[in-house]
Amino acid sequence: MLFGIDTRAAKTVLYFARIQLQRRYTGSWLGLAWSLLGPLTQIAAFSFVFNVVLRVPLDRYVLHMTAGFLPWLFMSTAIQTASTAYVMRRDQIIHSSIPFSLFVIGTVLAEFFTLLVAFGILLPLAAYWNGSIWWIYAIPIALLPCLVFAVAIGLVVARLTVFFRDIPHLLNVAFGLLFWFTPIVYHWSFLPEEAELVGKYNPMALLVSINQVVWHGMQMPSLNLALGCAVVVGVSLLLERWSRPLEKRLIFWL
Amino acid sequence: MTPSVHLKNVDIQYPLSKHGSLKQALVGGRTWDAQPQRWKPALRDISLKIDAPQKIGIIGRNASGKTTLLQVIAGILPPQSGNRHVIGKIAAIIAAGVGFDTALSVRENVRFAMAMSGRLHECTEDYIRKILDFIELQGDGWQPLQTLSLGFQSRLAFAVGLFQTPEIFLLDEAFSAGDALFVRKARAAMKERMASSPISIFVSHVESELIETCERGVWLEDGRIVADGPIDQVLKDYGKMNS
Repeated sequence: MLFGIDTRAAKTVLYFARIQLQRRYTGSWLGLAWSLLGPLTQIAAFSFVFNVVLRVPLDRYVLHMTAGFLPWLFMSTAIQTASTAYVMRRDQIIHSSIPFSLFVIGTVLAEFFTLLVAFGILLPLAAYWNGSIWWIYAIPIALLPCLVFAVAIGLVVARLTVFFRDIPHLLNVAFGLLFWFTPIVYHWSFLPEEAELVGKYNPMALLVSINQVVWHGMQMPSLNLALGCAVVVGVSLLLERWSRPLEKRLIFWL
Repeated sequence: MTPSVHLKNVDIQYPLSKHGSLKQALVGGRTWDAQPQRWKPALRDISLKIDAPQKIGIIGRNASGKTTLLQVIAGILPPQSGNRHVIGKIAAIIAAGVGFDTALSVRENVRFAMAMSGRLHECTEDYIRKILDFIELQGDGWQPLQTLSLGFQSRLAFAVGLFQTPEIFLLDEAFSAGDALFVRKARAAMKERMASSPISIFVSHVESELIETCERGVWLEDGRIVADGPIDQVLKDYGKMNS
């Protein structure tokens, strides 16, 4: 049992993820390529501003920024989309006899799939810059915590949104702010001493950093970083567990 | 195991004021799990024991709790108090529609509806073909559902529930649309399904249909069970009360 659902439901979750992507891109000319174009444009814009104009002193800046930006984009988009998964799917949920959490997990997996597609582009880029590919084995270690975190927090916010419709708006504001407190367009080492705490106690920063260490630093994450990520994931799972009783009541509030 | 439905002291009530805002929670003193001030009871202290084989007809006036009762049995609504214990695979045709996604194709909606009832693995090409044939849809079902008339969408909702092979079959006044010819065909198929399912629970206002298909009747009034017994006796009492 994971997230309160039977592992046999995996097929249904994958189906919901596929449907989510199909619904999003059906009829569009570029289809799934849109999921690449958006991030690529942002990466290009950030690279121009911080690398070319401001000349941030960081070797292989584009790789560092992309390695942080893509997981960030996945987690923030997945959590925000998940937050409305129940209220937007009211008509389906009130006719459904499966655990509602499958809708949210499917939503997050759809976002994860687009992240993997984007990483497919990043991979040869990183291999070229880094000159070796041994660190590829460390990628699942870096991505798995992001996925579990996004599912757990996605479930929490989806449940809370049924009761408080402000949550998605609040998340939008919070992620907008949190982006700049997370070392994505800059490096940890640039943070002044008085601002270090902001980075240290930012859960997203740890999950983003583990990816940057693997992709950009070509290293296995340090024990401290791995432990930090484990704590973040653990707390998110506890929050999910805490919010699970709401699942039984939310259908009356939809 | 023999299919069965056991409900014990089940209560269901709906909040009259729905979702709140964070402002209410933070400033207005309402916490996220606070009970709303007003609730509307839909089912009150319902106890029901159904063991296979049995065909049950549920009667009652509008808003008496019939659909809510089926939703509880189907596992859609969890009891707020009391217990629900069900053994057996369920197929339910409750109200119009099954939460279709109109942007998806007709075929995809069949799969989607099966996924929502936890039976995606049963959704084979044969199953989809049978449904498309039954609803008499022209083409191969790749057209978006939104291009179909409401009548065809209702046909599809009915057929998706009908072609499952359940041990417990729930049916809620399903014939909301369709021409006379289709309604006749759907009624015949429904009777066949009711006969082949170990447990069938049928909500209807049509006395002749209830007498023809059911042996036991349950009369609901204001969320409570008023009578439970042989269908003809329950219908007689219900008729007297409403005459």
